[in-house]
Amino acid sequence: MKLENAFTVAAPANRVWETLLDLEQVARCLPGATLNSAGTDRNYTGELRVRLGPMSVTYRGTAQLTEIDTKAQTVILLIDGKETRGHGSASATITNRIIADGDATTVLVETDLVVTGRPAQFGRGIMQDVASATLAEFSRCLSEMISSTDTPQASSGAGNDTGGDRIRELRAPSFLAILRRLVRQRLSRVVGRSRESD
Amino acid sequence: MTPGRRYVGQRVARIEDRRLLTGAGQYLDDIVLPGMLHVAFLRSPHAHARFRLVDTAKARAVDGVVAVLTSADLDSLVKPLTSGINDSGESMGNGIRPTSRAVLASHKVRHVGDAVAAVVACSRYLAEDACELIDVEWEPLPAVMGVEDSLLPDAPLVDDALADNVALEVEVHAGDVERAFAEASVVVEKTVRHGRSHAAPLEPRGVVADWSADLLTVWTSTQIPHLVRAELAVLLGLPEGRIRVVVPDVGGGFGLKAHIFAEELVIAAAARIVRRPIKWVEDRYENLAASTHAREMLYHVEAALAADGELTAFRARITGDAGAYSCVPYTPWVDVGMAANCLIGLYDVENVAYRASSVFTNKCQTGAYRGVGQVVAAVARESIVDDAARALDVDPVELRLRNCIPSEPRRTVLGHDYDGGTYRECLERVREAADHAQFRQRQQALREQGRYLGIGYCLLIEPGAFGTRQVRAHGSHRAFIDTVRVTVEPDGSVVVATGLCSNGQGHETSLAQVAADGIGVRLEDVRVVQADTETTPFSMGSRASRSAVVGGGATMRAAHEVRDKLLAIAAHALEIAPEDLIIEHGQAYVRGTPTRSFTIRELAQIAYFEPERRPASLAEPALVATRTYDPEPTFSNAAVAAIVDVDILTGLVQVERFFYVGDCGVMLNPMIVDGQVSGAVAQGLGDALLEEISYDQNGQLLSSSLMDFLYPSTTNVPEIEVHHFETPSPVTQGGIKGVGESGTIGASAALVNAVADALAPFGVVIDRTPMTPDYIRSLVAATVDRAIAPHIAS
Repeated sequence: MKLENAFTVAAPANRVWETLLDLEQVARCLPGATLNSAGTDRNYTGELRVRLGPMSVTYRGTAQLTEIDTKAQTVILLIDGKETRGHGSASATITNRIIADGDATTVLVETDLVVTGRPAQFGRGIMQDVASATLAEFSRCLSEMISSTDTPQASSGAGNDTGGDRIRELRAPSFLAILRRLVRQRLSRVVGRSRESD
Repeated sequence: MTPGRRYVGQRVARIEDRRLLTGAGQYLDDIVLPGMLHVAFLRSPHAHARFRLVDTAKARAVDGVVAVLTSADLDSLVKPLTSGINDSGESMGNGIRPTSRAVLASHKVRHVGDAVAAVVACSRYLAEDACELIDVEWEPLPAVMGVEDSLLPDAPLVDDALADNVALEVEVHAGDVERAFAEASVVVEKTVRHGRSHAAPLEPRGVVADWSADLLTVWTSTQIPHLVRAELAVLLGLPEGRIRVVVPDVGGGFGLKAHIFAEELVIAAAARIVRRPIKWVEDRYENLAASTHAREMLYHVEAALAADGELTAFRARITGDAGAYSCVPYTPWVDVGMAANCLIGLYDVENVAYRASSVFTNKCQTGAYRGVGQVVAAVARESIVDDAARALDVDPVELRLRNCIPSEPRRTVLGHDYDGGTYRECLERVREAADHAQFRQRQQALREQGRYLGIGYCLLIEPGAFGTRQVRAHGSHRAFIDTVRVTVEPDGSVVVATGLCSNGQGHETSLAQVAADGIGVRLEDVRVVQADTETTPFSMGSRASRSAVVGGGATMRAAHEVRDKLLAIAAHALEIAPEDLIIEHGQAYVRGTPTRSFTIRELAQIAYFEPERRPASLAEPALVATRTYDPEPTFSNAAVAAIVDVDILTGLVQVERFFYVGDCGVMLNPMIVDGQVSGAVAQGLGDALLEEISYDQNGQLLSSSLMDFLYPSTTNVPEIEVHHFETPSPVTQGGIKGVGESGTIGASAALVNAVADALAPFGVVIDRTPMTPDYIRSLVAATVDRAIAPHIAS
């Protein structure tokens, strides 16, 4: 499943670039994500909790920033998780590309998502909708984080045991809110259509 | 009432319904044995992956878990499940590739839901929890998800033992097809992508196995107990005489349960390993992901016609999506072979050519499902006939009548021996029932108001009652015989024992009607015992619309043999010729002198216990007869019509009316026939409009619950108006024909034609099933000018 998002922030490219390279900051914007520990070389372990209607799935796995290309201003975030119960998996290759545009900066986010097991098979199309809404939320959050002046600075060390708690304190977009919006969208699509046809 | 025909032909209330409707039925899951354990399967989340079982110790350590079984544990106990091989180890023919697989995947999974381990535990809950603790290292491989991809030169191999992904490939040529096309005035062609369907019985599969005292007993929710026993014997290395297969009440099979499944072998072997009875009842997810799917096919068909509308030739190229395994015992031939063989239907066509193939993909295996192959063939054939009618600007019913064969028996160009019926009459009658001319007026009037109604027809013939000749004409090497035993017990009660097994069809009633008439007893004195290899004689199983014909025929033969013994005893006692006696209502009496009589009980007492009163000629007096029947090919026929109302804004198709006119020869019980027709039509409606198994491009199963795999329900299925002709088959015992599937075969095609007719103003071509709202909307949107109707075009 390939998803594309883009957002523009009123911040210089180098500031955006730094934020994107700080996985702990980036992770705050991923709903349901918790970074547990930092490994070496921008390699983290963590958990991601996803709710799909009656189903709740927790993935445990790794997140890694890779192929950091300062010249081309691209960085890839690789997320690879396995269900903590069950045999499904989720992996995402999120490519962030930065394009400077005067004082503003545009970030192009390309995501290649592969999900297996029950969540991928639950309710035709729901996973696609949830994923695309989540990514939109992720982009929005990143954009807000970068442009807000009072962004909490990441700890200088490469994460610690309290890192997870600290990150959770921040208001991350909730899956419930995403689901609510999806339902609204779907309803308005149908209602809108029939109104037009009247 | 004619003597000998007191019950057959009557709408006798179903005997089994008291039990089934009051909740007293005993289904597979109702079986509870002392010390019984439960199994859950660890199933692949990947469509295609190599795997390594890293660790099962954590699962084994769960309190209540008795065993975690993998391929390594079973391989020494269970031989691989083979398909496409005949009894002498050679290919079955028809270009079928022999294949072989372990009953649990050993190093590679081939579809989502493929089983890799079985956890045996005290409860299903524990077993499922323990499944989650098994540590597996998956190495996902690229998945083959469609027939086109499957045939690419660099396509990943689904079955590593084969050179490519071709499951079978066969070409048939009859008549001079090239010439017919060269000389044709009109050639129409189309490609229909038939969707991946699924039988989805309300009761899913289930198996209980128990080993004790050197006897393996397997309860399984199947349609083919004797064939399951044969396969268990071969693969477990046991004599058939030491295996008992019992089928409890079955909540629907529809062909899905007419296969032999790896799970049946696994559960039997697991029970041997742990030395305790084991139960597995699949859940809906397993049923949707890992039993059998059906029908997915690309059907390219061409028809050649003369200027006057005479159909002169059919040509087809059929490619089936077999899924990951070759189903046992049929192979994917069951679907594409039948789809090819049933191409010409009732049309008078002497030139036919087809190339049929089936390819492996990383989806669940496909197999038999009600109307196997024929549903797909009917959609292709009947929709191209409608296309031809549009091309020639003639009425579709008239074009069908112009080309319909006469109602007499005939051999077709493909070598099928039709046994006659009411081929044209059904079509004329269904047109009358649908009030065709009046409908056209209403259709025109409503179109002007922006409502789109359509009418569609299907003319069909259903090969039923598979016996040896019928099966061989359809390309199988197998011989088919069925045996029924009829016993009059010493007290005069009657027991009919048959290896056929009702999955809901009502054998306990229809076969009892046949036996009661065949002997001359009251219906309430007859009991039908089914589907237990220990208590019933050999049968090829209840499938392919064969139970009424083979079961009815064998029961008739056995009942007549027993009646002859009763007549001999009565004749001897009354000192009269047997020809002068009548047996009915449980009494044997002298024709014209009803007072000179014996009850069946009195005659049975003589037979069993009073040698002095028996005729010397009756060397074997026990009132039991076991008779075998292998019917000649017989075919029922039908014509159906559907009227639909298509909402072009929502894409929803409402079936307004549905008409079925059929001829299945002598009807044992017209009420049961009507039930078969109605259920079959509903299933065809599901096939045409609602039911679709879908996967994403990575092979994840998207229709993994009944939230996404949509059954038809009372809100979708209209009242079905059923009419019958009754032309006895000249070739079967009692003139009976099979009729279990024609409703399904006809419904899909009629609905495709009805929707095409409704949308004729838009000039759309229906090229896939099911016709979901999304699909209908996209068809209409593609033709509508955005400027005029942006709400439709968007």
